[in-house]
Amino acid sequence: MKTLSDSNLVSVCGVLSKEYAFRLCRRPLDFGCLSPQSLITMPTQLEGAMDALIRVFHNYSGNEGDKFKLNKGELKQLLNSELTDFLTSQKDPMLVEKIMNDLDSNKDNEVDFNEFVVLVAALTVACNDFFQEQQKNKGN
Amino acid sequence: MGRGSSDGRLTVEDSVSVVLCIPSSSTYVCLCKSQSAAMPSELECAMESLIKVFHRYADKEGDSNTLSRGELKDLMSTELSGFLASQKDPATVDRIMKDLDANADGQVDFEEFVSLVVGLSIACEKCYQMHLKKQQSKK
Repeated sequence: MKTLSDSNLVSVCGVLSKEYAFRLCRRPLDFGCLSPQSLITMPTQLEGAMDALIRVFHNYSGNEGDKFKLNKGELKQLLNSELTDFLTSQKDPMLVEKIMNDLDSNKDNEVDFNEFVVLVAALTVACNDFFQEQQKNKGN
Repeated sequence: MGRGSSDGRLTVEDSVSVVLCIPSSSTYVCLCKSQSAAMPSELECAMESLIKVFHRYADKEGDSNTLSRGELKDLMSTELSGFLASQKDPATVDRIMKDLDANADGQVDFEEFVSLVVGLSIACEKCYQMHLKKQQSKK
């Protein structure tokens, strides 16, 4: 069983500098705290993907109530807009409820970024499994 | 489906009870939009990027579905050069490899790699939140 334990995260990201984090986030904010060098380089594809995860989350979480968490309505909007085909391919009308229930691990009726990103990770792993299967079948 | 972990750690499978019911083929097809004319969303593009980036490096040597130590080092030096540069510890890549390689087989598979991406994203988002809150309190 794969785990994302706190110790893994701390070990991996413990010394993540604020400067790098801001550069990664690349928000249209006051970047006065950043050194000029960090603004010059283009984000890599991987950095762009991580930035997108944060940006997408905040586009929806900022709409109502707690600006850093998704309530059920905001989660539904996010899923409908960002994962439209995925939702419609599943004929289950209760899917959003089930997803909310699964993600909201601390049962506060809100999904924070940590909870959201695990959904994205799980979906991406599922996609990659299929991709690898396809590649294997091509090879035979 | 019950929660897999009893020690409080967050597992990918905790969030997957819904996803596991879904045929991975339909998820992948939706991601690739191969059967629809609609443009992929920003989130779908990000997910696809994670897969593409992983395989760009994993395909170089040996098992094309896992990253060897050399391939992981390549990936991090190219895709996360800023992150590596901000680490004072020259043994960062080795430390990360050891952390990611949960089953200690000397290889990092996609799921292990994704946990790195998740960890980095969570750390960055925390910084971003702090920044936003500071800004809001100034007003």
